[in-house]
Amino acid sequence: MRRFRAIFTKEVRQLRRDRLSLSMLFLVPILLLALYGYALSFDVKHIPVAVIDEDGTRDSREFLESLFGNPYFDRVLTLNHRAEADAVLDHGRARFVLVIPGGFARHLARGEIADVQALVDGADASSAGTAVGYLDVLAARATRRVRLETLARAGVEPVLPVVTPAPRIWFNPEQESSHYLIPGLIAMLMMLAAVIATSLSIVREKERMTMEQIMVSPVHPLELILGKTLPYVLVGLATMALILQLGRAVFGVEVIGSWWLLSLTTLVFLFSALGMGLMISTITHSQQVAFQLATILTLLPSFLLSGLIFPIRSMPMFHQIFSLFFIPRHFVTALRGIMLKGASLADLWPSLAAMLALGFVFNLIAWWNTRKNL
Amino acid sequence: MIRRIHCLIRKELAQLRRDPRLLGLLLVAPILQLTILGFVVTNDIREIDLAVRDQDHTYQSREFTRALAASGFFVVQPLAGADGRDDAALVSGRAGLVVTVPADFGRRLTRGQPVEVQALVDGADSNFAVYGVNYLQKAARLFSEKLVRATASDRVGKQNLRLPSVRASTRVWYNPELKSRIYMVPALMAQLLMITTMLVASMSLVKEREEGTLEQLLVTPLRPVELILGKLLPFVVVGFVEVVAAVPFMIVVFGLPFRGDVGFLFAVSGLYLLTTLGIGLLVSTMVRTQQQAMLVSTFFVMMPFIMLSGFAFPIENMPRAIQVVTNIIPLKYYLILVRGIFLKGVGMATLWRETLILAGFGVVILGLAVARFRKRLD
Repeated sequence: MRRFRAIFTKEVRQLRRDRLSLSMLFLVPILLLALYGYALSFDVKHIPVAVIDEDGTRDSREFLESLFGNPYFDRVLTLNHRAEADAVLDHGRARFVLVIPGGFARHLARGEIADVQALVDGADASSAGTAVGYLDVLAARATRRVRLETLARAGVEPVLPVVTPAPRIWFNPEQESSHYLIPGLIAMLMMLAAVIATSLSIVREKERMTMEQIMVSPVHPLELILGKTLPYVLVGLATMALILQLGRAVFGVEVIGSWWLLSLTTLVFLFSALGMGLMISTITHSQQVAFQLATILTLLPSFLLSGLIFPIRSMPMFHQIFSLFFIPRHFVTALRGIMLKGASLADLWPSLAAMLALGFVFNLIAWWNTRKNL
Repeated sequence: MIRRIHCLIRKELAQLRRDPRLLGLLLVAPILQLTILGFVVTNDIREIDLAVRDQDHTYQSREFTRALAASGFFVVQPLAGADGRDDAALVSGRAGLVVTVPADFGRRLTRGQPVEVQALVDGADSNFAVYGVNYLQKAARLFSEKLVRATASDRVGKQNLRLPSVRASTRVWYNPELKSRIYMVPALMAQLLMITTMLVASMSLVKEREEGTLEQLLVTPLRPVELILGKLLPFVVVGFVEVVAAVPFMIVVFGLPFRGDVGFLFAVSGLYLLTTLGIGLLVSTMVRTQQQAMLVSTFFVMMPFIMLSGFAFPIENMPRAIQVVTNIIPLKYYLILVRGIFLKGVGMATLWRETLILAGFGVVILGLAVARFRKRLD
């Protein structure tokens, strides 16, 4: 116990002396959450569109008005010839070019199908897909309007058996992007901070040769690991508390679920994330390698494989299974569950169990490697 | 001068060779990550778990459920039993959408009246809600269209009336099947390039300072510029090797088209490497320990670059103030260039502005780094 306290005190002193690192571990995640919560959103709006109206009738103008009367499309250019479309798309000045061919109004009057053509820049597949989706919806609305008019003019009772979904967005009624981004961002930032904190800790001693001094002391591997990890557990808890406050104060993201479950989840997370960093520290011999390994295993995976942006259910089976080995995936699921859905332990125990298991393995490897050295 | 740089490069390579793990990581890891993550970055969301509560139990309601299942977007599970807490399926994550078909569904449709179905959507998961709702609306539209035609031809045939419709036909350029992979994978390569080169650059000088070998370097006849060039050139080579390896890999494994000019690609990649290495160098002049280098380059450079460069979050959606800030992110311009070269087959003529900006960045950042480094030496 006394030896553990000695290591703990040494780590704390070293941490305090490195003001820059300490403030970065503490403040930076908070600042970044503020930045990203403010800057990032999934809603695709203000898509720049170039228009060629070859019909020039009241119907075509009405259709265009319905298209641009919402925030999804911005009319940025009016072109005169289809030949100009090439250049516009190549340069990226518009995301798609909408062509209303001559005869639009005529087709509608005759009760036929009136086509409008969209030339879409497919280089950005996700916005292209969304743009096409919006266009379909607007075309459908225009169709309905035009049909009702036709029926009314003919004096026929409007008979339109249509099924309309009335969606209610649960957990996030105003559909604030930030609401579903914030838990994911918190998970990513905490993961980075935790792994960076510990991944260099042991290997730094190896590089500076102070490891030998530790080796000749009566410290046991377990005490070394605990002593090196605990200061960062405390920093991690403090950071988490602050980041949640920020989420609530600035973005209005309340924690709907229970606080004790949140604390438990955070502790389990810290146990596994710090353990992973420590493991990296014990299997590498230079800080550069440790850094590379830590970054490779955390930066892009916690962004792409955690469910932050790309839903895990949509990934190939291999990746769905692969993601089970990544801590951020479970932390994101748990955080979203607790913060946004008010989930209980019964709902979330798989995520907690997974993090616990991973943490156990990582810490075990770290302990084993330290034992070999000591 | 060349000879002195040559000596330094030999030293760097010798050190690199002594740490084979680092070299392995630098060369192998990007390709590995590209493989795994490349298949992840697809935005095509399919097989959404949809739970249906049928309160009508008529022919029409069953047809509707069948239509939802046949749409290809959903995996439909019917809900049975007490219908009090249907939203529990959302909380537990069993379903992403819960649709309730009301008891008068069939009756209204037979009378030719519109009917609403309530849908509870899980708003807590990614941009899932938007997709879920869109797919649902699309499926409902197709279902309705069939109904309208059936009933309309019934009533309207007598009066020889035809119902018009507006149809949008789209032609998608560069990427007819809207494969998001084509869009995302080159961007992924750019980021992997950044991660490897920036990391080593930022740590290399700091490592010398930490180990105290920097002073030994300083008493040699090496001039600051030569020191920097000597330290960075091996990493420029590593960067190019990565590009050379990654490009055919992406074409073969991901079926990426390559419609542009290879020489142009290498030229702009070189410019991009200038910026990443320059930033790495700049970071190394600002910190004292390798851990600080790691923190600063991860949190202040790499993560913001990844988030704000237009890779996953469209820049058009960001607040005006942030959009202005994104103009100083070199990755943003490299992404435009790389996508243009791969997908649109355009060259210098169209993309001269981005090329110039990237070159400018490279020169300025590197210049700044060199200046700072010189000051540190005195």
